[in-house]
Amino acid sequence: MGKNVLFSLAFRNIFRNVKRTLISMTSIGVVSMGLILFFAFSDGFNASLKRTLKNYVSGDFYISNKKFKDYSDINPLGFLLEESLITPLLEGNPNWVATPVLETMATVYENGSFQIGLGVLGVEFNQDIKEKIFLTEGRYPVYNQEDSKVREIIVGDIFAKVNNFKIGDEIVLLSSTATGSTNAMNFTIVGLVDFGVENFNANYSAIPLELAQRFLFASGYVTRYLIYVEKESDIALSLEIFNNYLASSNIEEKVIAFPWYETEVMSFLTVKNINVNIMALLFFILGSIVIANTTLMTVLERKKEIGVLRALGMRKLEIRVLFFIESFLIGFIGSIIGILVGCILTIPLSYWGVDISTISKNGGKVLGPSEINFLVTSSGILTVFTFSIVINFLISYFSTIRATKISPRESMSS
Amino acid sequence: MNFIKKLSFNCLVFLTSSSFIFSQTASEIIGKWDNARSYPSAKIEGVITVKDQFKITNTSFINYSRGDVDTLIEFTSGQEKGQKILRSESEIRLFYPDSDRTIILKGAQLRQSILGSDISYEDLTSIKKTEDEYDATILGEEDINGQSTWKIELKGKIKGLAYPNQIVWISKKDPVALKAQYFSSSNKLLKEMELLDYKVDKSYVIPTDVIFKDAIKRNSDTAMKINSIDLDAPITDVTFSRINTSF
Repeated sequence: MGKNVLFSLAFRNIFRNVKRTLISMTSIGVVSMGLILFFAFSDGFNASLKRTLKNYVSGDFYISNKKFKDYSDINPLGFLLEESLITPLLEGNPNWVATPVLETMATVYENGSFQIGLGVLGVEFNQDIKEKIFLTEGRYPVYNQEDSKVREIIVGDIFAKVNNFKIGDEIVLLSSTATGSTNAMNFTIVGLVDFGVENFNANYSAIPLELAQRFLFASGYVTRYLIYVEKESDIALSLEIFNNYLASSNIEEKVIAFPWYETEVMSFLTVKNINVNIMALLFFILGSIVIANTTLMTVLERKKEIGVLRALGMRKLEIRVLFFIESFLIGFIGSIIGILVGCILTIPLSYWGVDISTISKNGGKVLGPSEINFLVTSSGILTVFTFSIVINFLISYFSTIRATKISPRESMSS
Repeated sequence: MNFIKKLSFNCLVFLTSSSFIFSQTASEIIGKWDNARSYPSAKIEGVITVKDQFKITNTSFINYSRGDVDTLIEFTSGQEKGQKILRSESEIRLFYPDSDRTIILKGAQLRQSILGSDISYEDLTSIKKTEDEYDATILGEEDINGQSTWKIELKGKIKGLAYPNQIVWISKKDPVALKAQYFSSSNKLLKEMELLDYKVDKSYVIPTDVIFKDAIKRNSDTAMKINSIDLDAPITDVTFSRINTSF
């Protein structure tokens, strides 16, 4: 029997029992859709963490005092990076976007006592920062070198809401300084912002870098430089440039750089991804059972038909090929529809994101994104599509083999 | 028998009287020490040098004091220039040039270090006479830097003291502590002080070169050197008022 005949037979069979075909397609489609949403959530979560990690902690890579990583928990201002050490490096690489950050944990002094902790980020309010810290009200702060009384600050919108601060209010912050002493400063709130990280929105503020350096007695020093390169693939080369610079400047003992993928957060992500993969495997097994059940029932309830085809002289191989083609077509169409529906459902979830602010507000600067934007990746689609087709194919193969092993007489009498 | 009785009686008299004398001596020594550092008023200028394993910073200061309570310390150089610490009977207030509000330190904040040194704000809080806060016992006599001293143990008798236990070595020559060790209530050594030089003015003794060491920190110490002392400086209520310390 020719291939074209088998194809047309398979095609006809699909429409012969529309109800059965729809049930098979729906089961495959639902599993595919579920898997697409699952992967979109997982990839979106990873992307959210990576974004906040790069925005506030690491950049594509970050440069800091060599001792900072080991001692930052004990004395975060004791091991700052002297800007002048790396100025020639930054000037020599104008394609890098370098964002200096000076960070401290201050205390808000209100009504005669220390009321609340408030993280303070000293940053340069350039376009790069404005794309990461979004104004929800007011304006970005400016630094006036001529007038030392101009001390402007923006605070996370949740911090302002919870503590009843509004634009125009004055707050007094007290912090340890780089010299080991303390300093207090009055600031005027000029803007409320969304950092994109719930913990930041609830507990952080930002001021101009020069003002932070004055506040913390750290003129010419920063906590770290976040460096952004054009492409991910440029990171390794940039680190090589950095290491060559260190060697030539003889400052290897003072300065160090870490790419984002070598930060501590990434080890958390690795553990999390292992968990996700285990969950995905369970989901795959569950999905396989659903597809197997539907396909098996479809083949087994057609044992009589197989017996008739065998009695009419159709060979076992031809019957198997016929069922494979049917399974493939049903699996292909079902998974395509499922993937499409899954992708369509992720559009709003990707655009608006899923608000996880309530559960993530104490999650730290990287682990507490305000929302997760679902992310559909080509690898996710390919994995789901391949899985659906292969599972469908395998189940169909084994059940057809089983069905064709029975004699035509037995099949017809079943 | 009569001899034995007499001997026993004499021993008893000796023991009781020496114990009485010892206790009186500790009390007297501490009393003199307190009196010698309780100037009616003083304007003292000096420099605090803070050393740690990475850097050395010098900050000059002026200290205005009156009696046992009122003290105003103003830092006159370095990054902290303009900062003031006002100690009064009820509280410690901090004044920062970039803030229009004064900060009142309470509770755990008092443990913060002054200028990143080995001295905390808590070290400034004790305003009573030593005898009001501690029971003193003479442990013996020792030589410190060639000077004969009384080694005296101070055990806190009230709650909330920064250092519930202390050992001080008070010079026999002048009523001044040449060395001191400060302990927690569990007798863990927290800080040490060593006096390298001092000046006697009228009936007062003013430490002029002191080193503090935080026993918990490694490779760090704080030296305080006094450059000038004026015990007749006109210091009035205004000096310790909030008007004088606002900006």
